[in-house]
Amino acid sequence: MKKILSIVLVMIIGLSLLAGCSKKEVKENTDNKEVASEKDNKKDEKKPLKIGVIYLTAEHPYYQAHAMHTQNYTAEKGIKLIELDGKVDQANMANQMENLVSQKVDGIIYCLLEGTAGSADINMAQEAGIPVITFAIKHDPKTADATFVGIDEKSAGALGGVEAANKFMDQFPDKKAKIAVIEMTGVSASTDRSDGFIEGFQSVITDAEVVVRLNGEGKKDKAMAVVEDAIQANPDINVFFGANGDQGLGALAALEAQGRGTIDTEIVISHDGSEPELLKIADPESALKIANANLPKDLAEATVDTILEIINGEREMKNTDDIFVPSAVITGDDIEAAQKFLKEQYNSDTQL
Amino acid sequence: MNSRLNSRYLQRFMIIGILLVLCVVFAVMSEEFFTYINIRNILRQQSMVAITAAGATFVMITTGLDISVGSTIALSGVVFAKLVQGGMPLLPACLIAILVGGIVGLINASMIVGAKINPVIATLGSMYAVRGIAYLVAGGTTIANGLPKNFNVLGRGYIGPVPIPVVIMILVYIVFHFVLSRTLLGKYTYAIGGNKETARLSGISVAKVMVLLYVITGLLTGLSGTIMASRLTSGNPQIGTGFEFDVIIAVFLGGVSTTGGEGTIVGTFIGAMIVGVLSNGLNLLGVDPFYQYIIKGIVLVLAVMLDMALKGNGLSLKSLNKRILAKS
Amino acid sequence: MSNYILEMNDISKSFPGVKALQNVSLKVKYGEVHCLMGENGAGKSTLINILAGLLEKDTGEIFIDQKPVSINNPHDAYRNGISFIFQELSVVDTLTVEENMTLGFESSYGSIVNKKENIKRVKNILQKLNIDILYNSYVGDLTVCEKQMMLIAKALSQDSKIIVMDEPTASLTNKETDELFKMIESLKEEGVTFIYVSHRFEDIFTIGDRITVFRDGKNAKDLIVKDTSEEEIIRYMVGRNIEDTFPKRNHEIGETILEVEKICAKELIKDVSFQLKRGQVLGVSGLAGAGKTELARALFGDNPIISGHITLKGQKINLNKPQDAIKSKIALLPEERRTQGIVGKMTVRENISLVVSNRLSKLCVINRKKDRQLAKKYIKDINVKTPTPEQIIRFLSGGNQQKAIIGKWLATEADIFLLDEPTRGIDIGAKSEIYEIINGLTKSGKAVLLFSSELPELLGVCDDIMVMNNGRLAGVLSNEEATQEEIMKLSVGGSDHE
Repeated sequence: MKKILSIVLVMIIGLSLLAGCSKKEVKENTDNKEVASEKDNKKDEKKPLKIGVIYLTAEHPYYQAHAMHTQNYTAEKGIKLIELDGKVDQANMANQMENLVSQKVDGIIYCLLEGTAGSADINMAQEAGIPVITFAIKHDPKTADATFVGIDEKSAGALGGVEAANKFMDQFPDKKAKIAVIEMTGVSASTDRSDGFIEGFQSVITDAEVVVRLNGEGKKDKAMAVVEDAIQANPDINVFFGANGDQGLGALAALEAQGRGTIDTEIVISHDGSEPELLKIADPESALKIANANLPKDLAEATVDTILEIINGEREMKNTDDIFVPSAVITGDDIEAAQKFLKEQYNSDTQL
Repeated sequence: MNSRLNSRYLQRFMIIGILLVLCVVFAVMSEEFFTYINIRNILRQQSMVAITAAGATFVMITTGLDISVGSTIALSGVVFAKLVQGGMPLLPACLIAILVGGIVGLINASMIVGAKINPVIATLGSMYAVRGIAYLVAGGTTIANGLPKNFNVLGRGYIGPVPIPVVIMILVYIVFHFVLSRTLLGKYTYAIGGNKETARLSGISVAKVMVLLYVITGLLTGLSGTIMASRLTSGNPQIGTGFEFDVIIAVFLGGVSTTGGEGTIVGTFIGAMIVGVLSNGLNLLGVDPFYQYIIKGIVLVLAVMLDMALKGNGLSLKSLNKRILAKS
Repeated sequence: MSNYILEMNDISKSFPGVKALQNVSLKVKYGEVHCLMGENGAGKSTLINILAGLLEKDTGEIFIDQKPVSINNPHDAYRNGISFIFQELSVVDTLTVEENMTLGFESSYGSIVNKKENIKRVKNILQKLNIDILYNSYVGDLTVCEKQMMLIAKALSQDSKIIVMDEPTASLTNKETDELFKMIESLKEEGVTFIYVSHRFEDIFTIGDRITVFRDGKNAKDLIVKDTSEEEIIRYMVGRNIEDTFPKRNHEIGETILEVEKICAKELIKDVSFQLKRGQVLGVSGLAGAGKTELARALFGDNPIISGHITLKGQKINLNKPQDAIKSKIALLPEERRTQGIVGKMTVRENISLVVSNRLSKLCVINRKKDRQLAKKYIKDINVKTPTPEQIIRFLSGGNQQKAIIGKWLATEADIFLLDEPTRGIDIGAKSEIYEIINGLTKSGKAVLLFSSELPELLGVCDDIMVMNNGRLAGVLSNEEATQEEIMKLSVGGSDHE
């Protein structure tokens, strides 16, 4: 009787694992392509490279696009990819780093959450002989030496800030600019963007006032909630900067819920350039008019290229370069360019 | 017909069996599972949950509950980091952080034992409050600057080939196994869990024992918190969400009954390892994280059902057997 | 296969290691009160549970109205016209009378309850049976007797032809018992059949028609009430003659050990004074609610004493919590064995050493050897029937559990034993063993306060009997003076409730 139940238990676990193997489809394609390319090129019989990637989160559209490009790029190169979702939890990421090291991968691409915590993981991996590069959010250079691939958050923010200020002067030449910032408080990449944005904006409109900096925790629902409260307290805020796509959209949603959110009353700027943002930008009524766009395709390929450089010996493991990939600013003025961006970076044909 | 020894061994055998089955399945399906490094990782990654679960076992045997441990682990980590950042040497800072955990336990006890508030509600309240205090102490961000290089020895260091957190976990389990099975405190814990009224009328000071149990849980959680902070080289007020459920799952998997009066420390250890092996194995196999949640839920419920069937409550194995045979 | 409303033939049921029923049969005539008797473990409950659909029989057949039926769950039993009123009354205290009575059988439109219809039904049947309770009272506020009457009414409202009752009068006063019996008699005349499971001979001889006696899982004998006697029934139940249920008492009563002067306690007790001597068994009698248990708890430190003194062995003592009483070598055997006396999930050994654990340990570590020795000693001394000291105590019979609890207190070397309803729900064989134990206690110079509602027991065991009424002492009777009538008079006299 107990045997029956044990067998049932094992069967269920087995079935679940098989179900989970839907994830493995991607890797099977990779394996097939690998076999094909090896046969074609008759290269050396080495085992394919294994690279581990830890994303900050799997929920955000930016990271989903980034993951897609990483998968495609590594598949082309015949590299086996192990992807892990950091779930925005540093403790979880620490565990995952340990697991990757024990799996003896050839390289790790790491988007960590906290600079110092991540450093300890980086050091551990490097001591085990595995190269690590960080991307998007930088490790703490004082405690670990590694190459960083990302965007220069401040400059990117500033670009957006300048565009936004110009637009503001166009739309509301008589009004005083009052800014609300929605960011991930405590995460340097996020706050750097905001700082850059404010700098850029104030360089054009010197008397622009920063009314409040809110913690949207990087999420749309949280951003919406804090902006709703903010505009209750300060109804005359007219510039909203969301330090990532979801936070920008969240701010917009809060405004729309109040009957605002149109180009007549304010400007919303977001950072990421994902599809939902672009749709809003293309809408002539919407207040969301500017998005600083990270280029997930460029960034993804840059991370893979960089880690390969280290693996192939062209770059030192502890090289401390910062490799910046340019970002773009997408505005509502050039829909064609926006469409092109959407296709290239997010692989989407949605009509704007 | 059933002596307690029999059913206890049988039940322990069952969960060891589940653990072994999982290990075998994963070892077969993934070549990296059964390596020294990986097993070491599992033990280390589960050590914080396991250490807290040792204390929680006592509390849950008496049908109490503490869901504030996730927040407490953050608070003690933050306190630890902040003190060290301010110049205090590691050891005293660590001890104070552990004490902070004990104070949270004391506050919980005063609500539950003193004000007779339902444990779930009381510790739900402290879960929120303590989290807020953690944020306040940390000043809203992570405490990471100015920490000495050896701050992460506790969480990442080794004694010989064994990671320090694992050493601590093993020591904790040896001590508390002894306490639960051989001392007065252990016996009183079982008595209160089995029948609080009888325990009281037999002269056991139920209140004093319960306070002690919650304080012990708090202290152990404080210890887990310092290990966690050390591991992350920072005091982070945000960590630990969901931690309380990992602890509770480990304790229930280990054989503690919802009706009280049953459960062992060894069982909790095995329960914590089942959770660890499951997470680790599924990760190694690259199973989608969403599927992982589903599988964990199924395994928990199945394991508890098996446990209940063994003890003779709930599903009757005989009738299930009959039904299966009838269909075939 | 003639005129039986219920026939259970050749019923067998085994559990792992135990043959609970072997080829047992039960034949109940229409409109009779059929009594089921036997020691605990004889199989009565098992048979009733099978009839109720709570257990599956291994072999045998059941016929109702001469038609074969299969009962696999409680609903089947109801559909066949059988209702059950168990000792643990299945009522929901937080619902009203009407809601309880229609529970599971509500008149409704789909899932919307037709409250008016339900209330009408309930009112009708309560009226018909002359039961004086309001349909919208909360069941939690009713007395035990009222709850039972309500359950009988519920059974009838579901057109039950057979009502099975298990120890219904255990928590009833004499007056309430009379009311219950009156109702049973009148229902009998309307053709309702009763199956009455009980240990109480007074009940059987008042209201029973025929008796089926079980012993060790088999039929022992079928008897007709008016043709038999208590001795005969006992003989079949036990297989031997129990001449002296109550052992002879012929020892000395020594000096005063406890003096209680005018104590008032938080709960109920007012102005109680008495003296207790070594070697004495002092009985405490009284109706339900008179204050027996409250007095017992007060003497154990569980019912705070507001005024008055207690002097133990010449010294004034304060009893504020159980630990104080234990230190003063006072022991309490609580009224509810299952919920206050034992820790069901622990072993016999652990239960016996529960109070004295700290004496068996050094630095809080329990000395296993001493623990085992202690348990073995008392198991032997009091004859607790258990296969091993490591047996989980809740699997022992009620009588043996009780003995284990006595053992627990003997281990504390207490001088004063407060026994609150020690033989309630225990079969006749175990009862006499407990009386022997009480005898042994007094022989060795200990003092016993026996709180009991069983008058024959008080008269057979006690040296003197105190009678309580409404929290006060109504009077004290010596063994020679005491009779059931005298005790009853004092229990009832001079109070407001009848």
